[in-house]
Amino acid sequence: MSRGQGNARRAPVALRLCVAATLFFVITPIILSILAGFVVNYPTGLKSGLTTRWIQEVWAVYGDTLARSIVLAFACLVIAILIGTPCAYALSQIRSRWARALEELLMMPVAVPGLATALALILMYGHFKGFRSSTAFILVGHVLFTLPFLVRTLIPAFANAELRALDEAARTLGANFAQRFLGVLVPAVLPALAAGALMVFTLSIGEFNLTWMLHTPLTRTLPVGLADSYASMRLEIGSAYTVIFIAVVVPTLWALQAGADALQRYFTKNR
Amino acid sequence: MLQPRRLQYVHIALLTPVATLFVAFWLIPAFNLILLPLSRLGVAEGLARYAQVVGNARYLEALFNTFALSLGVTLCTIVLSACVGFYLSRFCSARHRGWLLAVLTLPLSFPGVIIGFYIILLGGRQGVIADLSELSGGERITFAYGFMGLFLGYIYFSLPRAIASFAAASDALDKALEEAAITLGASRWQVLFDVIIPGLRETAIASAAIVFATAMGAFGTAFTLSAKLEVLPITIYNEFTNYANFATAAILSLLLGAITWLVLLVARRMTDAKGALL
Amino acid sequence: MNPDATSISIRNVAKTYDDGTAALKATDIDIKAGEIVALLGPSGCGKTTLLRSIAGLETPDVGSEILFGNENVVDVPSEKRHIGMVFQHYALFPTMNVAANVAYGLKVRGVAAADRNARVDELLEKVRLTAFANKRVQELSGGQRQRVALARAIAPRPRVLLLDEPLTALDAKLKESLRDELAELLRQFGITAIHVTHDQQEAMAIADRLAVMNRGVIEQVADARTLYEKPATAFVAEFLGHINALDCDTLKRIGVESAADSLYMRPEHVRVDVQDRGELTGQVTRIIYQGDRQRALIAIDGAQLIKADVTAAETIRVDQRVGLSFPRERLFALSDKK
Ligand SMILES: Nc1ncnc2c1ncn2[C@@H]1O[C@H](COP(=O)(O)OP(=O)(O)OP(=O)(O)O)[C@@H](O)[C@H]1O
Ligand SMILES: [Mg+2]
Repeated sequence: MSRGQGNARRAPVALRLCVAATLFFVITPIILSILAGFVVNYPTGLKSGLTTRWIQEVWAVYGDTLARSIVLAFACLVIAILIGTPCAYALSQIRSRWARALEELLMMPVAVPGLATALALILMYGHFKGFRSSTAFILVGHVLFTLPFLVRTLIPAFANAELRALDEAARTLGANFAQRFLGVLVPAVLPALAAGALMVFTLSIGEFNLTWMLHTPLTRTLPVGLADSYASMRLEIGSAYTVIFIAVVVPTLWALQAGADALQRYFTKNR
Repeated sequence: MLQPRRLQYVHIALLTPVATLFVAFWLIPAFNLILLPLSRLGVAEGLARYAQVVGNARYLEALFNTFALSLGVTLCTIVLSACVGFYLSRFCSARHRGWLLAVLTLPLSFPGVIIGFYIILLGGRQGVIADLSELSGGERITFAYGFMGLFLGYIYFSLPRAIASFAAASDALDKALEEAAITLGASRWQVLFDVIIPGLRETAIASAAIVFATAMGAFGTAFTLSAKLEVLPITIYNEFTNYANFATAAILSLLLGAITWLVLLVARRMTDAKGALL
Repeated sequence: MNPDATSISIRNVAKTYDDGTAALKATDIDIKAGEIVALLGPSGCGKTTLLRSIAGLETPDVGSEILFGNENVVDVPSEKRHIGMVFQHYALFPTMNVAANVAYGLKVRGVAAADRNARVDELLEKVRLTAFANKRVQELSGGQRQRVALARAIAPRPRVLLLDEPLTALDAKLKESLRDELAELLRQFGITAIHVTHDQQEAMAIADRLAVMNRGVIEQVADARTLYEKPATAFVAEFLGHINALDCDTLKRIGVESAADSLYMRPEHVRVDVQDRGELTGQVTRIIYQGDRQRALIAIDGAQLIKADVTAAETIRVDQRVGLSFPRERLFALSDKK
């Protein structure tokens, strides 16, 4: 593969400018928000001194959203893996019209704007008050939205010809379907599963379009709390909240990513 | 080799949980949404409402805004992220590539509301651009609440994923093809247009589809910016929450969904890429 | 002989794929318990299809019968047939080490850990891989993988061992040494085995009997010597070495009476005399040096072209005139025409 080669050549100036501008564009607001989360008074700037007061205030008002979002993302992840993996396997094996139709249906919550999906859900199930006011209502939305990404990552992995040979080998050795699926097939697609799972987690933790419609005052998630703080609190508090989001979510994702990469490396070594 | 296989009981069992979930929580609610104006308002008036909404100038303008904005954002994002992705893959030492990619994809998990807030920090009333422009003797420039704010916000939102895709796709390009072109006497530009760009085409279309769909449905960014430019998701939200106008909100959602889905369908016909997401 | 070994009878087995390809036409063959049979034939002739039908990995057409002993297994799923199979690219489980691969068939059948380990140790020793028991399969060489695949297939004491081109993925030199080792191991195990290959040397080295296949049909089943010396069809004769077809004109000139239109003789049996003496004379048109011998293409005066072998030491050149003789005992007839 070409990676790491061609360093000797220098990129054309226009390309380097383009990269620099993009980097600047991405980084500046992140730095600004971190700064704003810790200064006493944003308009005055650093001169006004540094404080953790805003962080503490956010913690007091929005602390619950953090735990809820993380639990929600993990619940979404577990459900997506439990139902998405068998589904992806089946879709990779059959060419029937019904399977294609299901594959199409699976993409709909991604293709159609989240607001529409949320509206459809509310107008259909909103009058089941217990369900409507529980976190499960949001969970359904998140699973609908994230599942396609997992399934789509797994289908090519399951369709692999090498994997089919492994399955047949296990059959000739006397393994039944459950033994083959759990003992041979799933372990063999673990790298793809990890990549898909990472995507599910990432999307769930940052999901706003659906969640804003589906939440109730008692089931606020991180992004919902953020929106609320931006609308109703001073800028410093919004910034502090953003800092907390980054401080919790980004390391979690990096840890998951490192795990997925390690799996990938383990599997491709000496292959 | 993939041989066609018939639906077997095992497969049905494996598909059932997902199929049930999607039928119960997406397909049936979607049909309910389509029929809602008729069931709430009666058939005649429901159909009339459909016609009324689709013909309404204000809604159409919002739809046009959303569509044009999404198209522009898609174009800019693809060009920008193709450049950056290719740069990361080809001109970057492994060491720099690591942190650059990490920084550029940092916002991957950020919800749209954070992006909206970022745009306010940049171009809002208390933003740096305003401060800087004042410092250099002009008046305070704010761009966060208009077209520009949404445009930049949507790009910011889409860049990380698109950059990651293009970096991976550039890695996967077959270098031998470029070398073959060079040995045949192609210039750098010819290699770019004849080998590299066609090689990245599938990724470009797949990414564009995702960016476009995301932009059409983007709600968080516009919500935070409470933009002066009205986009359809905000219209729908207002009809639903502020005016409790369920039928109209439903019709507008369907309109937005149908258009997005159609554009994606066309994009997919263009690629028939196996691994592509949409 | 191995008590697990079963006899196999293939009756009327045919396979038409979903796309309409008739890969296998009604096929019959009987294999004795403990016998090693090679399925030999060119690419695409249906060897793999037949083997996979026996394994239960393909469903043969209705009316097919596959008997293991007296039991018809056509409707038995692969995992219940109690067979062992060695795949062309081995299909070793990448997520398990060598010992776990070999133990897998025992584990899924619920064999106790102690018995399992004993059996694994025994087999790893047989295939000389004891030192590699805890290695990941990715770290093995091609030859080692092949032996793991064999040990894995044998471990659950299958009724029949099926091998689909188990040596094809190896390089030429290794292939030869492993071929002899495989032949030796299979005899030690005393198991019924069906070995698919397109390499006649390999088939002859390993199998007791060879089944030569062509276009979905078994043309002849016999031991190597019979196949070579008494081929039943032109295809078999051609597939194992080369033949000359002597047409009726040539036959008349050497004074042979025959009911058939033509009779056949292998190039190494045609006698060439550089002194221009023989039943017929001709002119050398081409010489192909083959190391241990030379093959000459000779145009008989006013008639057909004949392939004949001469020793490597013989001095012979193009355009030289030579004499040809055809020993009568080496002439044979074929049931079908070429
Ligand atoms: N799954 C399938 N679907 C359709 N046709 C197939 C399938 N598998 C094999 N065939 C066709 O059936 C015929 C026999 O194939 P088979 O694999 O049995 O040949 P083979 O003798 O094993 O050849 P090789 O030596 O190349 O492995 C070929 O023409 C092949 O193209
Ligand atoms: Mg084959």
